[in-house]
Amino acid sequence: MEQRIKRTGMLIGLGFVLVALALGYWQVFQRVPPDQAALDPRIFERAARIQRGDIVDRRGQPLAQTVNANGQTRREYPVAGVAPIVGYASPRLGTSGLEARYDNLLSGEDSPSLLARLSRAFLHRAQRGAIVRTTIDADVQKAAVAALAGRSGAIVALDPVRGDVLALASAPTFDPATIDAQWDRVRNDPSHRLFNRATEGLYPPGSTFKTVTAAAAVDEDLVNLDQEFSCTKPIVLDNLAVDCRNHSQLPVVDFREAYAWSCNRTFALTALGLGYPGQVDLSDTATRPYPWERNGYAPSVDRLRAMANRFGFERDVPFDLPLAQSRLADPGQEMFPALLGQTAFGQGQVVATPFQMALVAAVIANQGRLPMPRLALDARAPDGTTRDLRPSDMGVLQVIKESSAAALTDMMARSVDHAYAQNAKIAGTTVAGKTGTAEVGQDLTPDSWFIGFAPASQPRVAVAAVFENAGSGSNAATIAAQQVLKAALAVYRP
Amino acid sequence: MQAGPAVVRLARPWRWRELALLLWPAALLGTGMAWLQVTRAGGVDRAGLVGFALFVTVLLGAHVWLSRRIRTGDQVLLPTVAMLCAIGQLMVTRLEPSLAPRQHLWVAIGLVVMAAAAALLPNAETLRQYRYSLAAAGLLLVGVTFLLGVDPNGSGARLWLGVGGVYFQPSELLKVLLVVFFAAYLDENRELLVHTGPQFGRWRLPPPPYLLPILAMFGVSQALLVFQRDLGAALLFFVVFLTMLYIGTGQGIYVVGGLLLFAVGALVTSRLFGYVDARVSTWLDPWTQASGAGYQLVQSLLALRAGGLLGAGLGWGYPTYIPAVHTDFVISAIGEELGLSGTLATVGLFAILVERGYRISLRAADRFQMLLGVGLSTVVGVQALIILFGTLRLMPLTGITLPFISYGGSSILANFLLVGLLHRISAESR
Repeated sequence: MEQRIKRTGMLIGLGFVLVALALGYWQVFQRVPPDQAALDPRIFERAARIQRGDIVDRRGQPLAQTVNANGQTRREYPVAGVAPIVGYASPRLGTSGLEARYDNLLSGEDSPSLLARLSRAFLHRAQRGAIVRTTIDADVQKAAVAALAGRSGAIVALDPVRGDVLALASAPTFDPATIDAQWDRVRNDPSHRLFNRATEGLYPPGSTFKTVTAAAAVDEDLVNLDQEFSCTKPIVLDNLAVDCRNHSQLPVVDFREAYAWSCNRTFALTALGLGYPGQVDLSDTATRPYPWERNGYAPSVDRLRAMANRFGFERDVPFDLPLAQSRLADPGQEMFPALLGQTAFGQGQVVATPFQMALVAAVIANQGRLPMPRLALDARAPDGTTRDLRPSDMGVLQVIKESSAAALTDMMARSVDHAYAQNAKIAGTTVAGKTGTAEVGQDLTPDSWFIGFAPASQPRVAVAAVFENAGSGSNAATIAAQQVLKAALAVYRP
Repeated sequence: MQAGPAVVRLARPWRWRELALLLWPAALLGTGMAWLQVTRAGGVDRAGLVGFALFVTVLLGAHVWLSRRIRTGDQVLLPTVAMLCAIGQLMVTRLEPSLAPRQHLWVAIGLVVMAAAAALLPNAETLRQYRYSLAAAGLLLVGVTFLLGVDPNGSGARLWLGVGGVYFQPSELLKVLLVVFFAAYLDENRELLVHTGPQFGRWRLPPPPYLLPILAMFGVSQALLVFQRDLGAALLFFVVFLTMLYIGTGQGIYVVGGLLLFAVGALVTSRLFGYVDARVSTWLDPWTQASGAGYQLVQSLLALRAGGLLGAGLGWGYPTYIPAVHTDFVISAIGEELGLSGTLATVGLFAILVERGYRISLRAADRFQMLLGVGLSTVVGVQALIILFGTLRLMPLTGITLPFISYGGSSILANFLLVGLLHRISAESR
């Protein structure tokens, strides 16, 4: 009988082993299918118990705020149009934007305060999140949102010296406070409300890209800035004719005026000449074969690309929000002359985000130096301890020489003073800028672009604006940018 | 027995090992209660303090009693049981604080019952003598419940008898009484059961005349339980009965026959009683019925998942979303708040308990006590397995308590009685 007893005992023991295995599975390896996740009340319980930290602007004004009502917490967004910056925070849908980037600090999981972290880990004390302060200025943001009202596009404004982003607006956008209820509608909206046009929208920059081409030319001493030349006849590149229609009223220009008046022919020639030793003759008298063709030099995109890379194109620029990479051409595309010519004036296959173009303006404004863009400044725990959230200083990148930046500033000031960007003028200060009217396809109205900064000497704000299918750059984008610059100059003192 | 020389009597050892081991359950309950006090704001929990003091005092008292009255015997059994009780009291304090004082009381009374069973019984022989009376009394109580039973918890089956606000579940007591009966009967009629009976080639069938009494007892109890929808108890009795038959007679035919009988019974009951079908379908796919019949099981699984390795912390999970979490599903609450480490520890304790019981039985003084010990240990082990399998989705759920841990006075008292008998067997062992 002893044998049988032992056998039975083993059997019961086996039963307990099975239990242990089942426990191991359910507690460690169990995966709940996503559509069943809502059955778990814990997500809502945890979210309800967290006093999520506010996201505030540089002066402490709340952009995203937790309010308590009847023992429930609710997330409110007092400033309209901040969704591209702060994103949404929903127990059901998750987080996006800054709510996602700093979710750990906002929810109290992580804290600048060591005491809070210990208290959380060991005593499970109720979580109160840290307050995240951003570089945004609520007044400038409001101006940007107002300037975009009713249309599709984006506006980015930043401090060109410090890199602080003052405003980041994308339209149309959504209301993060109602995202839970509106999710299906917003997600399926054909106008792409969830899409952040400012940081991830890739648009042909049009003539605003001439700033980059000009920067390359000036920095390499490729052109004589003050030499006047006759500029009327189109050049032909692989069956593509590039002309001077933008300044048909002005047959003789120098390079500065060619920029101010946005001459496509001049810039196409310039791009083709980048890398040619010596200065390039841009006048009408230059005909095929062009000097560099005669001397066996082949036009190449390399120099232009290298310069664009320095500005941030085709690179990953570190930032608190995801940034789409701007580029000169589709990957693997062979850059034949016609395409190179078009690239020079921001067409062809060039695409850039409004954020990238704002950085272009910032480089010119900042004496040729690329600032590190910043959005989050610091996080402050309820007990007062703070953590610095600014990106670690990676050193200054001198994109172009100071003298080149000065030359470009002059060119951009001319554009505002008497050429296509006059709508950007602000009384009492000098604005520098460049418009762009980007072709986006046959039978489609072009996109309206503007990049610029103010004041032209000692710049405090740089801005980029794009309006989808809004026509000439001189109008929609420039007028909007002027409003934003004006608002920024009034309130922003670095 | 003649009184030996005084020096021999005095030299008999104290149960030191038991005393040392008892520190663990005391420490567990103390730390746990203190933790709940610190992390859950709001006043000092006086009832908890009293409960803790009561537990430690009675535990110590039981230990002293055992040391003086029975001295020898297994010293790991009581600490193991006390540990399980401590876990149970802690979980009830956390899950249903209003019921905690009662749980403390049940444990205290249970310890007294255990001590009484261990030391006041003259010997195990008495049990054997009264086997028929005990079994009849148990069946009578269950019969009365069938007729007059109430359902104070709203669990859907009327399994309780109530007297003045105190409720008692007779089926819990019945399991102990029937095991006593089976052990005695099997011991008495072993030869007859094994060596008589019609021969069928190599197989010897069970002899009807000698099998009848226990079959009758068994049949009646099964019928009562099934009709009362107490499937857990029915299953438990079935398994224990079969086990004891197999161990007692060594005839494999009983196991085979039993399994066949189980299959037939399961089919019949699922046809006759819709609720069996419901349990099976919920077991197979609780997710599609997550807001209906499957809610309990789904929430239990989610709670277990939330626990992970180390748990959310006592008092910091959300196990109260599970219906009946302080009774049938307490393992899920342990899983969520104390993690896999907590649940494995609990399962480990049960394994130790059963192992100790079997160990005691193997050294029992005679065959009756051996059978009795095995039967009692099997009851505890299989009962734990049934509810654990059910909550872990290894088999359809049946309503039965997790011994010592679930809230419920009858279960605790009956199980302490069971442990007391094990101590008795251990004391008389070779």
